[in-house]
Amino acid sequence: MGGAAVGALSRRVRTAAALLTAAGLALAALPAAADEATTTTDDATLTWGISGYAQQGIFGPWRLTNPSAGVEILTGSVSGGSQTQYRVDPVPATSMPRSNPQKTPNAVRFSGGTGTVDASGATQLAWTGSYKVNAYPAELNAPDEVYSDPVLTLRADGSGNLTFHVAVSAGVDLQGRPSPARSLGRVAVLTFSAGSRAATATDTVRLTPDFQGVRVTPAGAPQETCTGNVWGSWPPEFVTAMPDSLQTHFYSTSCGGLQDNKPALPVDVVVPSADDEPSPTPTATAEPTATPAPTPTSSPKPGTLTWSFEDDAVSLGTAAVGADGSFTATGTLPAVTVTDTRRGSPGFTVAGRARPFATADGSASFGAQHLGWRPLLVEQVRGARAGKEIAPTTAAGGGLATSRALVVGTAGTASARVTAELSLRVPEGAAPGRYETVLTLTALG
Amino acid sequence: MARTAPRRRRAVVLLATAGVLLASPAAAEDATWSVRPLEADAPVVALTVHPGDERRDAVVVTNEGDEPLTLAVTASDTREGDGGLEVADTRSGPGAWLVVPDRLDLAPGEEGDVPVHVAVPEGTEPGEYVAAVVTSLAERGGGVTVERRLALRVVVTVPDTVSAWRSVGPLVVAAAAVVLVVAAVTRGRARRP
Repeated sequence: MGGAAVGALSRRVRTAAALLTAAGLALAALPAAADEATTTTDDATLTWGISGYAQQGIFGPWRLTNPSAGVEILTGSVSGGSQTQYRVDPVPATSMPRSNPQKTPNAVRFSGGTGTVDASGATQLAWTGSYKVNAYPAELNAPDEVYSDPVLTLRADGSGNLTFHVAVSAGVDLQGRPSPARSLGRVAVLTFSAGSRAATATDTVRLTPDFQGVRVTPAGAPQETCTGNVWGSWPPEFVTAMPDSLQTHFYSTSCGGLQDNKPALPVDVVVPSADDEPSPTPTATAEPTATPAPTPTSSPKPGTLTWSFEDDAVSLGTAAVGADGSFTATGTLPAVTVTDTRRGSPGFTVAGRARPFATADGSASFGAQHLGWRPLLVEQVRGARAGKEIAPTTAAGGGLATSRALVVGTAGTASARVTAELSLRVPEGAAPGRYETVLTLTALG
Repeated sequence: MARTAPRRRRAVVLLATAGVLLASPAAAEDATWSVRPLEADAPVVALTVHPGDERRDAVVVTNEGDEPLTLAVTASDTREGDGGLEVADTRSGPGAWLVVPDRLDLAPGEEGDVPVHVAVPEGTEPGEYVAAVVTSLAERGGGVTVERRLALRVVVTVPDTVSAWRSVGPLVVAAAAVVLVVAAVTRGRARRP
């Protein structure tokens, strides 16, 4: 956070200097006191994926539910989601289980945090809100853990802690015995040692929690001592205050198996600079067109992933001169229908990418970045969402030169019918000729 | 005059573009096909293969349309794209472990198997690896063509052999001890008249 604060300050200093110049005043020396000023924020965010163990569990990823106002659950690909805001490298860099392609974790995000970061990096930030986590399927009736109102305190050297108010609901333990509700009060769920803080982007710091070598004396079998690379515990005061049946989630219980996944994942904290633009609102999912959806012609067999489409040619019509003098052409992608009747409907994606436009003799070409699209669901279906709008651009690798999502069917989606409005901006200076391209649509299920 | 030249060039481009982008009339009826794992109840092809080991499985492809279908078949890595898992069109990861035939011809309504041979190299780190078997409709020439590819995930789990043995080891020792004790007792009893 020290980096963020200093960055914010230096930018503020530059802004002030520019204003002074514009006003025609001499560049007066800025008050030295500014360097020791404190950044005060009311829009800090805290994003955390709990642990690698929480991304895998014994019964699948832990269930994160009941976010209150100001709290968001980010669903990673471990649970069929597509969050891109919180990423971690796999074991051994963090406790995230390794996979190929690397999956993204589930995480919680608290927004609207208030507090201060001083020039030395000393930090005091507080958020309000809560989320619920349960490591087991609902039918096991394991106790819910409710984490509320985090407070982050860091000294200049990066040491400190993250406290939550923690409450555990009544439930049953793994042996089916009743486990009464309890409140742990405010407890340090994570502690940080000096040097645990690293700046990962402008205004963003990543904090790596303590784990390695921490000893705990849990209620059940004593912690086994191992010489492996990963061995330790979350803060002992937190672990031992938890119900017995949940304690094992937070320390090394054996020298093999899942111990690499036990350490807490890093915590990302963003303290926006004072001169940052407000973050843009997320693009809304494309509205469906009014056209009634024709029903698919065939009814797919059970247990298959099927697709059908209308024809294999796209008409972009006639290019016309736009308001800015560029040549644009638009057309509609023939509708594609994906039907998933496989057991459990594990989800699917359809992505598209175009090759460069080229004349038949290859004498002239321009890149597919000049082609964009706006995917549209022909009908809104539970679980399916259209890909983001991609504008034509002149930047290499932009537009449809790169693979882009046409539709994403999350787990449980039975079918999706999707089309897209295609738009081409013919680049300035393109030689006259007959250009061809191939748009590749790939469904993966 | 200096201003009219660019305008004339633009007009030429306009006409050329119109010619280019008016696509050839629809060439095909609704084409449609499906994929599924050989194991009918499974959603994806899922295999557990130890490093240095190999397995065979298959993807079942059905021509659901009214026309004969020729599909090109490839194997590929997957990656997390901007919306979710997608075909990476590389074979530097688990896609390289898969061997599949090049093509598949299917009559209308016909079902065919694409055999998939999976060989995991020695020294592969334990973990879950996701490759894909990609079936693509051969391109038709001319105009602005849309190439269609339907792919099925092949999830290869490479188990952590060492850890597995480390946790199973004590059980094996215990089981062996029980067997020895039982054997000793029964032999002792057998010796009695």
